[in-house]
Amino acid sequence: MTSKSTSTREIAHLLRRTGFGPSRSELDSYAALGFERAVDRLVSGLAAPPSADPPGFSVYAPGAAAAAWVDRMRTSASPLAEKLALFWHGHFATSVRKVEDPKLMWKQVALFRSAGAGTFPALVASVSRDPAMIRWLDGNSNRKGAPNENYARELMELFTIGRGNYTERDVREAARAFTGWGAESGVFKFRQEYHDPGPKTVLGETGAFDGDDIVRIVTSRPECARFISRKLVAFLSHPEPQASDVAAAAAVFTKSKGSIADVVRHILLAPAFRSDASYRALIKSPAEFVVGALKVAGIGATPSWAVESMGRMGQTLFAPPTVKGWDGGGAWLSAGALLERMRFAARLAAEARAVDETIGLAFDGRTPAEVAGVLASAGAADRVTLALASPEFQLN
Amino acid sequence: MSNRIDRRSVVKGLFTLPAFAVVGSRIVQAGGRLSAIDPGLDPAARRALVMVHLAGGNDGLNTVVPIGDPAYAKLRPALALAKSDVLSIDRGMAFHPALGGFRKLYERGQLAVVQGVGYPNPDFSHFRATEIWEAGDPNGGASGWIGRYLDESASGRGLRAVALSKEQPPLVLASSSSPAVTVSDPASFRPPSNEAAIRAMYSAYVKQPATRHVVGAAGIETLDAATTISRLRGESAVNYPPGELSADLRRAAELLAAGVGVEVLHISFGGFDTHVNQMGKHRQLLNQVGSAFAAFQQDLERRGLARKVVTVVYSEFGRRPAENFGGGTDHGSAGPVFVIGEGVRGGLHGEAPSLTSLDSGNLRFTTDFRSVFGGIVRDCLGGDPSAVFRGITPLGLF
Repeated sequence: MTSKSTSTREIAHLLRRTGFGPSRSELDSYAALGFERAVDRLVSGLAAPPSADPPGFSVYAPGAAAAAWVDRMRTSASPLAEKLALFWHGHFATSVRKVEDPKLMWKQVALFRSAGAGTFPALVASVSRDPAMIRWLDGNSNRKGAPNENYARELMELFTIGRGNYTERDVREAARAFTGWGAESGVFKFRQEYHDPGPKTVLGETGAFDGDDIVRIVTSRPECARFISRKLVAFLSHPEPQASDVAAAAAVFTKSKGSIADVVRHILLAPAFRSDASYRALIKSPAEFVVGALKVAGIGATPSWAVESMGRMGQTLFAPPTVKGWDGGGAWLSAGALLERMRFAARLAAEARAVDETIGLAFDGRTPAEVAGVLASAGAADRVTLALASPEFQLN
Repeated sequence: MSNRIDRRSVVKGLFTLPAFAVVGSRIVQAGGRLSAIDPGLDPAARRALVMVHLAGGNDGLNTVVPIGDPAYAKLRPALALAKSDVLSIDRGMAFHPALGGFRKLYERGQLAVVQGVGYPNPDFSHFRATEIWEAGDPNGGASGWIGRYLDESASGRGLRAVALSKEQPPLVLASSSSPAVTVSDPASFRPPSNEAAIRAMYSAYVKQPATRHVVGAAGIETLDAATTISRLRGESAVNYPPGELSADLRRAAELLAAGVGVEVLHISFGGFDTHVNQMGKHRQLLNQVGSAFAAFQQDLERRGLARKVVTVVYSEFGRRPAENFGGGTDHGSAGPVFVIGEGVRGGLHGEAPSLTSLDSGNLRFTTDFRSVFGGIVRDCLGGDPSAVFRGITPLGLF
């Protein structure tokens, strides 16, 4: 790939990484812009307010929340907002299995959708008050004299600075700062009577800290800039990024005071993103596989069976397996999950609009030789199945 | 634990090797026999192993209850179980009232309870603690202890390790020679209709570098596993209680009876992270645990497999002895490990941790988890514990 001319392949790559792959019309309109302006449009789309929920929308029907989100992924005019929402859902991984209220889960993802490209410290401050998160990591039982360390620990280990960059004592002290941060009737509530106002020492700083102070302290650490930047580079660009690419993204993070939009733009415009080494170097998550297949096959509505199948592939939206989120990468391709992808391919192929158009979009107009040979000797009825079940289509 | 992601990078398309043909021929040899676990190596020691992880950190003190220790009730004004409710066993210890199934196994001498199992400098993060238990190393690591056993005893056979899961295989099974297969439901685990064409594409990718190789190897592994497991037969005649753990144990019994060469099965059963309102939740969970394992043992007996299968039940940590404000308990350290099977030396093993000499509010472990697992490697799997763990004395439980 050269950086001067913009190929279909390069735009399709960009649309896979910043969204869920191209539909025909998206591919054409972004290709007409050229690569840099396509990045501009995608990133500036993040500033537009997310669309309101459709009328009569209820997340309480079984599976409704996941189906509604998948449908947004498929149809959104700002696929990057959905993609970042999915990224943060895996990062601040909260599960409806404990929260037990789909509405609170939906609101948490709405927060990721609207604030997921803002500054990271502001996002963490909002997440720390998010009622689903408070339920998930037991904020209501974090009280003066009997602190519950669940949130404080995950805040440091998984959400901001990563293991090895704090001590057990930091966790215990930070938990005290979050005492009294609870939720009632689905709304954040600070309860002074449960808050421990005494001095705390966290990561070398001492003061009568509350939760916001802890968020400020952890998100301003250089480890946080590196931790979040590395994760974004691995999510958007290359699964095993070069240290220099991570350092460059972290520098943007620090300089912009944690602006996620700025870091994302930097990653997309960096040479590594457009290199051959990054092309199809990631393994599609079930969301990327299912939504991508619906888009390339030109399916006009999201079938409920597709959403159920995604769960069997190992990704049930709103229900990540643990607070660590989904492991991703090769772990998506456990035998049961990959077999489900093959079944999905066969079922979707029966509904696909046009065989050649689907295959063209699936492979950026250049079907790899190993796949092309197999497709050539298959009957027309099987070609879409084989394309979607192919190893190439599992790559992002 | 990025090592899970890397795992496949060491998988060099193993099922494409003649190994798989060996599996095939074993099935033919098994020809209708139900007990086909015997790998034909060391008949004295070899048993299949079922590892069950109670995920989230099971509260050991309310599972195997030090009911005779006055410190117990003091630490837990709301959560202490009543003397009149618990199921007494030996030495002032008792099972939680919901563990009737465990008591039955205990009375029959088929349940060994190893008390106070842990390791130095315990970690209180679920993920890190799980990694430590699965790596079999207090410092964590990139290989699983069962994976190291599989490598050390490399037999050239496929499908030695299966995780019953919708997720990725756990670290404990990570092996460079015998990739674990994850199966959510063996009954629907069949190759796709156009298998040959799909196999041709994935075979071509196995030979390519980086991520393309990972996908190719995963595809071949999947198709081979589906072929093998689709030959599975022998539905359970035993009535299992409802619940996910039961469903997984039933599947485990079916897989073991199918004679497809499975040596190790891994099951994870979650929900034990009882920070709040522990009492009712824990009772429900333990009720499932006790009744599911009782049914599983009965199923194995009917199939003639009871002497051929050992089950180990563990959790990544116990919980803090003192209860918290929310009627729950926070992440703790040591806890009991259960070893179930015919031929197991039933009863209490090791010492119950002190409730008065605590370490920053947590129990001090009395038995190192590596010695428990080392004993499993030696006496259950018939492997060499020193090839799996360094500098430990295996605990004799058989």
